Amino acid sequence: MDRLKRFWHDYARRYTGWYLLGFLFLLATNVLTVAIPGFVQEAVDALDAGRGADPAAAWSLAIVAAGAGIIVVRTLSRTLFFNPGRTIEFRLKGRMFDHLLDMPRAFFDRMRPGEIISRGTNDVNSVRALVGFASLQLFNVAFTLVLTLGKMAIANAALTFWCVLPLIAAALVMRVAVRAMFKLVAATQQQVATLSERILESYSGVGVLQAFGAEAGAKARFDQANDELLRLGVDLGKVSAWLLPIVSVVGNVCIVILLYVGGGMVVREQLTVGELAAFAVYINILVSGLTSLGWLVNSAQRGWISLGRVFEVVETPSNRPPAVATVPPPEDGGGHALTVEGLTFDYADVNPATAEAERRAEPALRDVTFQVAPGERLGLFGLTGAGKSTLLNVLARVYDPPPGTVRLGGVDVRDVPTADYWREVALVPQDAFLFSLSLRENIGLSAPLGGIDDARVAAAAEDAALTDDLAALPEGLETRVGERGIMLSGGQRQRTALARAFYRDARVLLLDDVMSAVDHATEKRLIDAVYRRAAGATLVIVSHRVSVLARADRILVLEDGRVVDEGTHDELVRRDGPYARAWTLQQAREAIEDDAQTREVAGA
Amino acid sequence: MPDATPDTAAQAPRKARSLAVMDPRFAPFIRPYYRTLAGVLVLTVLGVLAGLLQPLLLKQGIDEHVATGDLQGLAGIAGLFLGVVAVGFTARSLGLYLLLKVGLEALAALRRAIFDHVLGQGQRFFDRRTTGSLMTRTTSDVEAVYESLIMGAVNLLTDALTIVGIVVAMLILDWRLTLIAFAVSPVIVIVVEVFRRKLRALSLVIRTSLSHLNGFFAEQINGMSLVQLYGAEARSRRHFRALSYEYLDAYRRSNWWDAGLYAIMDGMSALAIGLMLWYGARSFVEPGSAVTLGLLVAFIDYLSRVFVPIREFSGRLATVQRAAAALDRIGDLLETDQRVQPGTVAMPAIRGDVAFDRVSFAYAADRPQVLRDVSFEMRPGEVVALVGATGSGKTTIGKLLMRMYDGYQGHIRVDGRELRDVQLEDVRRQVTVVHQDVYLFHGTVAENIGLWQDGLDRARVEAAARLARASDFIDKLPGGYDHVVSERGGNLSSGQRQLLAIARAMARDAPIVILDEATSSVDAMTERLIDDAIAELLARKTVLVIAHRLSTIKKADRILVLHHGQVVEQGTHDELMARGGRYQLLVETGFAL
Repeated sequence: MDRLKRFWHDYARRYTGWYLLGFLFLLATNVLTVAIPGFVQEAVDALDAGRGADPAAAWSLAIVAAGAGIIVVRTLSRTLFFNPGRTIEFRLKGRMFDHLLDMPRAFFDRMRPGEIISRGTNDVNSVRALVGFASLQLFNVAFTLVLTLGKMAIANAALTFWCVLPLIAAALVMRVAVRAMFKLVAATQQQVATLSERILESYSGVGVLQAFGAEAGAKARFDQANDELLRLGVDLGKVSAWLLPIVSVVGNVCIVILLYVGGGMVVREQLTVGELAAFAVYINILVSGLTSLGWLVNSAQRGWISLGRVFEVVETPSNRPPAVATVPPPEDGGGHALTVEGLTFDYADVNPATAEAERRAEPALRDVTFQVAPGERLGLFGLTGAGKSTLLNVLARVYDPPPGTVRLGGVDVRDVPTADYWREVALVPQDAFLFSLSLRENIGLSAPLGGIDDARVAAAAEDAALTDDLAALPEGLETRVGERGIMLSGGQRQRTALARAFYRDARVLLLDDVMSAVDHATEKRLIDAVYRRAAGATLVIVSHRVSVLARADRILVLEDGRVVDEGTHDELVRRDGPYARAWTLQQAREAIEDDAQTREVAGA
Repeated sequence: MPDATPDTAAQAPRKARSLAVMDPRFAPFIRPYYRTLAGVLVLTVLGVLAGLLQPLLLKQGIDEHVATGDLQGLAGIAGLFLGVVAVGFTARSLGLYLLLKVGLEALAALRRAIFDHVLGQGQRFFDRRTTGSLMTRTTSDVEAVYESLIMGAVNLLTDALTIVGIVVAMLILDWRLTLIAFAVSPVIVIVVEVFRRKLRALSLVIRTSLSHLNGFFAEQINGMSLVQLYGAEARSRRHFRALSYEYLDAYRRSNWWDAGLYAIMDGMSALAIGLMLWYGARSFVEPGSAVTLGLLVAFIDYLSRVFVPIREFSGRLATVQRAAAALDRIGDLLETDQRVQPGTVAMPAIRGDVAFDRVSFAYAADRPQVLRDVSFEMRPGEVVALVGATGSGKTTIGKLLMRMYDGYQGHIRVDGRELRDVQLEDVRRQVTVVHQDVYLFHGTVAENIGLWQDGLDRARVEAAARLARASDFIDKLPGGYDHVVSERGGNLSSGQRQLLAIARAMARDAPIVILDEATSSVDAMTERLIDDAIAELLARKTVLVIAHRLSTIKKADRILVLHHGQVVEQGTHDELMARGGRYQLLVETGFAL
């Protein structure tokens, strides 16, 4: 109930006027609808009593007038209920999106993007149905039932009892049927998803299936999913063919009861023929009201559950530490100093729930301590899973570090407002995510609204070795890159992500393996550009390629979340460690190619 | 929802061929059910008739028995009425159930037929189609046929029969009263059409704006870290508001028209009943009039039954037409057949002698040749490397040997037999491939290595993984060989994926292997494992390498240098380097391919 109160207060209250008006028109609609059988009764009785055609004709015209009135008031009542529902949906979506813009990554890890997207679309939709369609129908059905039953009971209580009892029973049966149906519908949707997954992977991998003669296996997997879907569909068919029409069938039975019981009453002069005719119409009204009640309860229940799911997103606090400090500008206007002291980071602490599912035995980072001087260029080396990306993410506050472990310019990073912090620190993540915008808008992502500086974009693109690619693209910087940058190659995406960081012009640059998909010739140019561009700023660069790190001022070697070695490139290659081993292997590989080239030159 | 949901007004069908049901292309799917369908038709008619009888029985009861005080006769009528209700219910429900059942069965068969058809196609077929469009044919289009055609058709049929039946019954009972009752109908039909058009246009706006809004929302959620890190929240917020408002605005406008349409149909039955009663009252008092009270009650009953089907009718017609368009697209797909020749010559045991003799090939008749007069030979156990820039034709040679394409000129001979005459399954079983990147199906690691091949037991899968140097990382996965992977899961590194691709080929008894080397870089340790695994492969099989790495090329018995679809140089590494031609150039530029 508390949920409803908050929802009412935050979203719906401002539309009270609309709802009240809609409510009035709805009442009018129902009064008119229920009046019609009364007019029918009057007209028939007037004829039956032999009072001539005129009174009956007058009642008939009253029915016509009621019909015309219904057209007007029903239009108004529906619109007055539906439109606030839509506006509330708009406001709820907006609030949810604003809130998500402020949530830390840990929240997205925990709830998963797919789940959040589903809550922002499907669940908000169900809530809207609850406050638009369902609230209208709820009042509508309630009015109809009360007014109709009241009229019937006044006319003849005994007859009402006999006619209505079976209908109530039928409505209860239908309620069960609707619930069973929704369960089957949910299972069917799940199965459709499974089947689609099977089909998609078979079509995408059709070359593989054919090359390995594995079509039969794929067909067997398809058949399994297809047959299960068929079975669920037939079950659903049973419910919808045999159980759902129950109310209207029982409605017909009620007409029989009316004819037999009511007919007898007419004969005994306890009832008029007009009342008998009116009862037939009342029963039709009840049938349609009770039928929609069966659907309505479900729609309301789902809306109610969805409201809870939406609120769960909107009301989860961001849990960001309170911001109390600012980072002092560096004295020489260059980069900031970065201090890491005793940093231990465990994903389980960020997300206790997911930790159960993906139990990591060890924290991702353990007791990491190092300093980066202003303007220093630090390399981070380690094999896959050593903790390099985690460390960069913590430095960038994608995940907040424990208090006192990471300082920027002497200030605990947790004390700095995130928006200020991110102006100082630019991270290029390993996964080069691009938005389906133009290249220019992707590079100038950090620009204020409508204020992309084209000269800066061009310079950033140039430094990220994108110039040649731009010339080859149909519309240069204006080329739209498609969903996740699908129009570009992996290397182009990485370089665009790099250009985006260059545009940011931050005092600390954090690069996470940004050259993995770049070919060798470009890599050399790009390394030059990165180190040149980083001059003045503080740079932390991660790679498993020694060639990328060789020019760093200092290199940390990470293994299993710990710093196991530290030194310049020359120092590290002299020690026998993972860095030196990787260096030897990469040297050997290059030697084969160099050897081939030298021999060729010698032979020429 | 039964009635009050906002109209998602029907979209105009692309191609309104409403008789697509009669399309001979689908006869095989319908034929097994002819008798059931005939039964369904009979049951539907029976159900509608039962409905039509009820107001007549009501009239009969009132005029003949209530008016005369004949209670015994009334009991008889009531009993008859009850029987009609029971028959009507049984006929309708049984008819609907049977129709749903055969409909679902026929569509499951149709879906299976599409799936089989697609999997059997040659590569040419896939060159011209996106996976997305094939998916739509197999899933959404079939789904649309079910929801619109089967469900829609039965409703349409019931509605049409009901409308016609009621009007006919009313005309027979009293044609003057009937005409009066429907006097306002033409005006209503025109008004409804105007409303529907408005709604149709708005519903297009609604669907477009909703898909923009949801697309933007999903993208932002996936890229949220970047939006925050780069301080782009204000821009995102504004864009989201704009898209969301566009959707809101279209819906608010549509709600007016929709509510109006609904209300008109709702008020309509009252207008008709009022008009009919007004005229009926005048006739009733005329001496000798055929209008009785029972008749008036029956007419009121008919009129309150007839307007719901009329309201639904034009919407349902549009859905059925839309399904017809989907069915048409499916029919077109099933008619397109681009299989490769199945071949007739059985070759259960290929030794591995391969000869290309002046082979030329183009991907389509209107496209330039990608191979021109290519000739080379490969003896059992040899390693032949194909080198050349992107687009030089090396991948195409591999595809022809795999029989992914037909229609090459010249000869490809395997152990002296023409390749296109050999039975396709013999070729596919004995010529296998190591792809650049392994494509993962949802399933265990073991399934992904064995690919559901008969006779490939766990022991052989594990042996293959060991040879491919993949066993170390597989053993470390939770569940080992039973660890579940999928293409979307992305839980394997690119190096591990390359090792799995090699394991997949190792698990086959194929004497000939096409090795498509990966270009993406992996860490140094994994790189060494891949080198070892490839060395193992080269030592065991006859291998055609689509080469990217000098270390592999140098191990080849023969190197073919391709340029614009022609073999321009051929020899060993040392020979070719000594010659100082195109190969030397490729080596110098570091095989920047």
